[in-house]
Amino acid sequence: MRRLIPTSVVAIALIAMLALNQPAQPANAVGTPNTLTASGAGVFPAGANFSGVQLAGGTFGIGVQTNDDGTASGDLELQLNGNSPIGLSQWITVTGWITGGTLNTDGTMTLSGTGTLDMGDGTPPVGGLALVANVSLSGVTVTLGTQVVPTLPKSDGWIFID
Amino acid sequence: MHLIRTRAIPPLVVALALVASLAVPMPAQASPSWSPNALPTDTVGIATGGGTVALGSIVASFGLNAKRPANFAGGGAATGRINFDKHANLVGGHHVNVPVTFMSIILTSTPTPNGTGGSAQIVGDCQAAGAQCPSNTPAFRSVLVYVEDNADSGAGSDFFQISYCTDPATVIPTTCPMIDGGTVRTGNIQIRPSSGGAGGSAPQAPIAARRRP
Repeated sequence: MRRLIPTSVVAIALIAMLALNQPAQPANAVGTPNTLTASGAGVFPAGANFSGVQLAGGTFGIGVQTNDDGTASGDLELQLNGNSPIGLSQWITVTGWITGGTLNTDGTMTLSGTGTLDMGDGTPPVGGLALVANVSLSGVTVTLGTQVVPTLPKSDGWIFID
Repeated sequence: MHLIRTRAIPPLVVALALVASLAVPMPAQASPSWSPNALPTDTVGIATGGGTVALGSIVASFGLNAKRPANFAGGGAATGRINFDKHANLVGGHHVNVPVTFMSIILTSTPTPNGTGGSAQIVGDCQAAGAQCPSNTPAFRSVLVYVEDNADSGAGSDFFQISYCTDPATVIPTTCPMIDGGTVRTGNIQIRPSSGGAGGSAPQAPIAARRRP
């Protein structure tokens, strides 16, 4: 009994020391110098809709470099095609000036910046929108202001997070 | 007493298991820069871009990153990736996925309000593991991407061109019988001294011309 207690204490102390010695791990993101490179196309699942436009497919092109402090430089571009409520072909273009980026612990990358939305319906593009994008190896999800664009799956092309 | 003794062993086992699980191997460190050939410029800078270009009636998407490696000491070495996806079912389709090996870059002396501008030649290696380039005889061994950052708004001003080359990616290739690209249709190119200090006001891109991808 006398030998058992010290052994347990030592074991717990070792665990505690090693645990405390590990680098801090934020809950969902780490600022690291990564690059995100992507270009390709995808097909939306049935029912995907954005601002009344029934989305069929889209293309994407992304080049972003992130830094340790969570800042980033780069560009994001999405083009979505679909049908307007009256059945006309409509092309929606989203461009993003990326200024922040973090690699999440699940391997996805979250980008932030300012975006421009061109609804492709003849109205002028709207700029200065807060843009957040989550990019995984299988698709791109963009939020512009309060509007969430349905996730564009990657059906063709590449998404690389290095 | 018997119970205490039987419990005494598991904590040690658990401790060892936890110690082993906590001792996660550290990520591999980046290897030193490798610069066997001199390029036209040793300027330090980065190039990023994402968008589309029109190729006749077809649209192609691109995404690119290029930067100098850690401990860069000149010679044109660069890291990054080039993705190019021509959206059409073409025989030997123009799909490119290559790592960047070299870059020459020129920073403008009159940068935009956001601190960007210039041009760059970026070389990608078609022979790298996992790389993809269009099929050809003789085989394309490299691609050369030439980009210009002429305006913060990108579309209609910036330039993206990709050349398919039979030279290896160990120098700026010169034998490039096939070329795609042109003025950026949607998206943007950025050329800047470094990726730090990002910011600036986001430009508003002009309306894209309507084309089928």
